[in-house]
Amino acid sequence: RHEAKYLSGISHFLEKLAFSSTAQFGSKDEILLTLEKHGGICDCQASRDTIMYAVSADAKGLDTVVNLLADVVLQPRLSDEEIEMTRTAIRFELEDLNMRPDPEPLLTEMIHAAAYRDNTVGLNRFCPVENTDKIDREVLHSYLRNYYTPDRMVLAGVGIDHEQLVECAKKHLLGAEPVWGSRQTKDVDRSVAQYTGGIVKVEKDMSDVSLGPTPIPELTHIMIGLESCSFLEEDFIPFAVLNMMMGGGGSFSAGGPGKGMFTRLYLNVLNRHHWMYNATSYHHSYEDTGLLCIHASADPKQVREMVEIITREFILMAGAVGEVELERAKTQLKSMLMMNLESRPVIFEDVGRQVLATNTRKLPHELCALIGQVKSTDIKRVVTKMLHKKPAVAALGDLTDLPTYEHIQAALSSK
Amino acid sequence: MAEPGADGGGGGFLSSGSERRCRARLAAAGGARGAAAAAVLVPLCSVRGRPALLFTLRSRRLGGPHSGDVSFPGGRRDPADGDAVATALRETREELGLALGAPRVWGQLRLLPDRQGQMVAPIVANLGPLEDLTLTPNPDEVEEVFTLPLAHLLREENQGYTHFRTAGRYGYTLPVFLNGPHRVWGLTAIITELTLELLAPDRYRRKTHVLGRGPSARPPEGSSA
Repeated sequence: RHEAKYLSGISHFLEKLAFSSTAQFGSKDEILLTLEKHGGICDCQASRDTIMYAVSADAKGLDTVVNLLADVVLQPRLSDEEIEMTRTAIRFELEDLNMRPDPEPLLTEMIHAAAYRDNTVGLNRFCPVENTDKIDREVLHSYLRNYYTPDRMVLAGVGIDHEQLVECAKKHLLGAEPVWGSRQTKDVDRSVAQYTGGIVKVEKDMSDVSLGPTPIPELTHIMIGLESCSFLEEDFIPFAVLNMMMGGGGSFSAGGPGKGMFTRLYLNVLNRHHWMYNATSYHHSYEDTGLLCIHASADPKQVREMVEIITREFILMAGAVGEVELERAKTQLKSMLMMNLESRPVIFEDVGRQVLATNTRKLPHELCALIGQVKSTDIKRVVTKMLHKKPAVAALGDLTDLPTYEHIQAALSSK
Repeated sequence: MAEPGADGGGGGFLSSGSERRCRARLAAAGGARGAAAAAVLVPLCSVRGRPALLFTLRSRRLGGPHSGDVSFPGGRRDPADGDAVATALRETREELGLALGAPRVWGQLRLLPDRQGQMVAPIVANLGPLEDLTLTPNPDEVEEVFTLPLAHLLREENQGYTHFRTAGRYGYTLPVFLNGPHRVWGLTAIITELTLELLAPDRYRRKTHVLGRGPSARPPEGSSA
């Protein structure tokens, strides 16, 4: 989200280049071998607002791991060879994104571009293909100089003694000089994400997307979203509950306890309209904004009906919320929260993100308590606020029967 | 109109001295006058003695690109309107049921392009104490009316900015005002910014910026302002 004044795709490059050669480690292989001695693995993940360098290893290897992380983040060599390999890897990933039958990542890009036109989280998360040749070490350093600064970093650990981690951090990070020099940072982008609403359409022939011998039916995908709120606001929890209540998924989905087969998108949409292939609700949230959206897919000839059904579901969100369904959604959210936090990598991502944004961390039981307090009036209140915003629409596939943006906007503001 | 100090030293924006200065500055600005396709009223007022700006939340029923946005009262120029001031006053009457006399108008800020590239004339006026007014907002056009104290707008923590791209590269920066009942962005934020500069020239740092022009330029036509 900070790439407005840079070439889009820098974070994508950084993600792929992570854990390559550094000042201390001659190559990626060296890093992996070092980690192997401690039974460890490493990974880097970039998202729209953060980038995470993660290492999981035996607790005895803490010192090595922190040293490694410090080196990887602050002293990457970014050799020409590695950058060239990264270019190839990114081009391959972009090709794959366009080819795969599951349009999820593409739609997510599109809905963000529609909702936050030309700014912050609406910018490309994936490097645009025309930029792959333009990004080099110079470009990367110019970005790193401004954004890989101590005030923008959090070192988080799980399953480690806090004091020990602090010791290692002092040893390897305190006073460490990054390879791009430590000139005064200037022009750090603190843009506030501006929700604009809008529509992004990609006409695409989806008649033959199957990569194997079994044909996949031709589908047109739409995603309709509205601005919700940031994860720092109190209304975030009601939105999370609402998202759970809408739920949904693919129509060819095996159910099971806690799967969510009683969520609204299953009960009201997929169970009643058997021609709908997919209806799923998503909630993306950032430090200054959020986006609640519903993805739906169906045969191109039924796009009009599909849009009508989804807009109706949005409007119904502002209506009566049954007690049973509300409690079910709250319980589901709490269980999902607790189940996810059983995984250590998820815990340290949670710690890192929360501390980055708020300098503190809300513990799981605190969150569960807040979830428990959500009432149907809260849901109604946040939905009414949400329905005031202009919609964001992403459409992919055969779009001949797609209603106009104005039509969708009118449908969402009718009572 | 004498003002008690609204925020410890920041008060007096609506005092007669301040009004004289602002009227003079607006008159002297000259510059881009000429026919504007639309006009808005920039309503200064006082709420419980504190100087503030009045904003409207446009109704969703209007549809269109500005549906549901935070805005100032205003609209397209009617052939019957004599000038931009007449447009702004007429729209204020239609949208808020408020008949404002011409003497209340302090002057016009520079013309600004809206998202469609149409020129909009912002007309600054002082409504006086809000408590003395009866507003009857037209529900077809106005969903909500709210005010933001100038003290709030002048505090750095309530000011933000957003960098926007045009055609794949950095294009321009717009201000945004936060932490009120609604976020103020787009053209309304630019006008708010110009108003703050008019009233408190030493206390406000401009955020609007257009690449390729100096910091005193306005966003290009057709931008998503």
